[in-house]
Amino acid sequence: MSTERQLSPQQVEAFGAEIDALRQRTMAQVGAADARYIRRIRSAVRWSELLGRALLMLGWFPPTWLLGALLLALGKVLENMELGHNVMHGQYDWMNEPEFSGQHYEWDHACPSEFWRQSHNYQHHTFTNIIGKDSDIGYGTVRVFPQQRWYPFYLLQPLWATLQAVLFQHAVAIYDLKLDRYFRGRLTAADLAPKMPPFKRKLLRQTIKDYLLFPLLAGPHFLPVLAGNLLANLLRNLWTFAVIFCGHFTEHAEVFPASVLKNESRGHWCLRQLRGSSNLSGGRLFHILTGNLSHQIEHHLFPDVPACRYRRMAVEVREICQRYGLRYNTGRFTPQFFGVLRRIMTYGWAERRLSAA
Amino acid sequence: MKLLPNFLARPLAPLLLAPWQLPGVARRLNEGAFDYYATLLHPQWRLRRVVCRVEALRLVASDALAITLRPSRNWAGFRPGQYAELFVEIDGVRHGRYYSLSSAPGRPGRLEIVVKREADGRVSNWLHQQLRVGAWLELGPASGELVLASPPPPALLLISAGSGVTPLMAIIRQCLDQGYPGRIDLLHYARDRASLIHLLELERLARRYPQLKLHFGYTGEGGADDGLRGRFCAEHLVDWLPAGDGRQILACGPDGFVRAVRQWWQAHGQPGSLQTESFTPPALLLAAGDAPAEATLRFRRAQRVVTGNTRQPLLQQAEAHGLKPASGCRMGICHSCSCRKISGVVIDALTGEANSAPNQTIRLCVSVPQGDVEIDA
Repeated sequence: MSTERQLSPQQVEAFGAEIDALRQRTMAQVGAADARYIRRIRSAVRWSELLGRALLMLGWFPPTWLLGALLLALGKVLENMELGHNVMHGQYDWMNEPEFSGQHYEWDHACPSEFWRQSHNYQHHTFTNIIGKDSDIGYGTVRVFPQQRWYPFYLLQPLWATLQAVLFQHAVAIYDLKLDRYFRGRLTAADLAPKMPPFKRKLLRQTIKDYLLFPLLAGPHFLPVLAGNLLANLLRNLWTFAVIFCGHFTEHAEVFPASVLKNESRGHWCLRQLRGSSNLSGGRLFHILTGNLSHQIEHHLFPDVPACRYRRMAVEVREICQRYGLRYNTGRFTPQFFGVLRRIMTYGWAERRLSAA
Repeated sequence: MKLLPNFLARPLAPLLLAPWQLPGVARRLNEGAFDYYATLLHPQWRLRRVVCRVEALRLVASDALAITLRPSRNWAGFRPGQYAELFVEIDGVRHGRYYSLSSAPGRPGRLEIVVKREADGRVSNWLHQQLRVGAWLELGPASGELVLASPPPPALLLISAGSGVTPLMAIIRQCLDQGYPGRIDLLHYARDRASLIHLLELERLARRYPQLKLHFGYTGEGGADDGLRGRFCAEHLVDWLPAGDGRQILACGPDGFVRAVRQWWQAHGQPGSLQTESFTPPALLLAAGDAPAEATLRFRRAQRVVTGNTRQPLLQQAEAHGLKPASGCRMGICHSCSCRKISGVVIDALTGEANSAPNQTIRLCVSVPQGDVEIDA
């Protein structure tokens, strides 16, 4: 399997050019079909939420309660992944619909959209997998690459990862506050201050909505609705955690030193996105439930192309990679996720402990 | 879906919809989600947006379609002479175009806009060919400065060309409805009689109200014998323009026409106050004789770096490279394409002003790069 070092500069640029040509061809076709698709996704979100919440209001009766919680979880997952994340990338800005405007969309999530746009759209997608610049490497909670600096904190990382998974939407919400830097003294309270009002506002809104407003609306069925909402959020948290961690922490994912940024050409940028990302294989429904982050490679190569196009583009990307002898990191969910877990179990220990083993 | 028929939706709206529209409540709602559920009941039931029913379609000139709209309760009203943005959805994309409201605000419940068919106009052709009575169209809020002075002036001189007559039509209708005592002179230019918008109604009004004086000019070959010939010029006014100051002059038409009117007004000692409105994008100010240079354009969110030029606006150049930034009117009015210029120098093609400070909001459709720029788009 070739690596970047074995590709000549001309080959690197040719690779980049082929990727760009694929993007142009696809964007030329984007139109009514994509608009119809995202409207259908939006309808699915709205109906799942409506029916889920309505069923939960019928009380503890197990069939309706469970179905209600699952439907609400489905609505939240779709809204989080296929709708919110993709719309905020500006994938549907061309529709000129205020509801699908990337700069204005506010998702059903504890994290304020403006934080997400900054830390995800800008920082993560620009500095993908660059040690020291992409905070998504480990999210501040786990050490999953040997190149990350080790702290004793990481010894307990299976516990941190579990807590993060269970509370994932809140972990994402505080992520942009960069509290790990604050606790290490590299950020002051004054640095955090401007971020606190939107943070508190969104947190309050989400908490009241799911854990006070809808339970109260149910009258005597306060508890079943509260429990159902908790379960729905938990399911959403666990699912999104797993999918997102599979994006960049699988066995063959790579990280890069900051030096690669200097004079990084288009071809090198494409290679970094390819080598830093990993895909999940599955059926069409699986792809939709992951918000097409199962096509993490395509998402990183083409973040502003409507995600429903990734499945078809993947066929060509795969073929291009094969011709250049590049690894196309993909696999079924279980092996890919186990690769992530292995990393979490391994790199919590400091290097010298590993070499002694 | 439309669970409520029109006749039920209208009376039920104050009861079921209005409580959600109270400021303290509306502010806390997710507008998109609310609108989704509300429009299941009726397409006009929206939190803030205005959706109109197309009540009537009729031709008021050979290539001009008058659309009568019935707005929802969300419509905030307008002053005669103002325009609003009409939205149509074509192939999944929502297009907005500004049209003057030619109806009189004094007659509530019905709005009229006139759409002139442009040769390669996507929206105007769609409206002429595909729009049906009973369809639903969204309308933006009214805006515009071309309004009657308050208190009303002793006399009015209205000058227009092509579809520029539409805002003036609203003013004429409103004035005559409300018993305006002064003289109203309308000097209007069209290609020929067949393409003269609102011709029949104007002649009917002139017959009924002697204070309304019509003067038509024909710029094409097939005009009537008694009309003025050719484009606007000072001679066209000498025969009939009464002396006296204090009249309000309102002019509306393509950019070149409006500039000619302004020149006449300045050259003739500014007889009365002048307000103008032009609805075609002015020719972009480009330094004559400068060869267009290359410029590196960085689009941060799209992760693209492309080689552009210092001649075309950023919106066009972005689209030429396969990007699809949000856009709207494409002439610098609606700000749909507004985004942050992180660094670099751009020139506003409408005013010629250079913008060089970092982190400035610019409109992509009228900003022309003068060197390397980085845009948050």
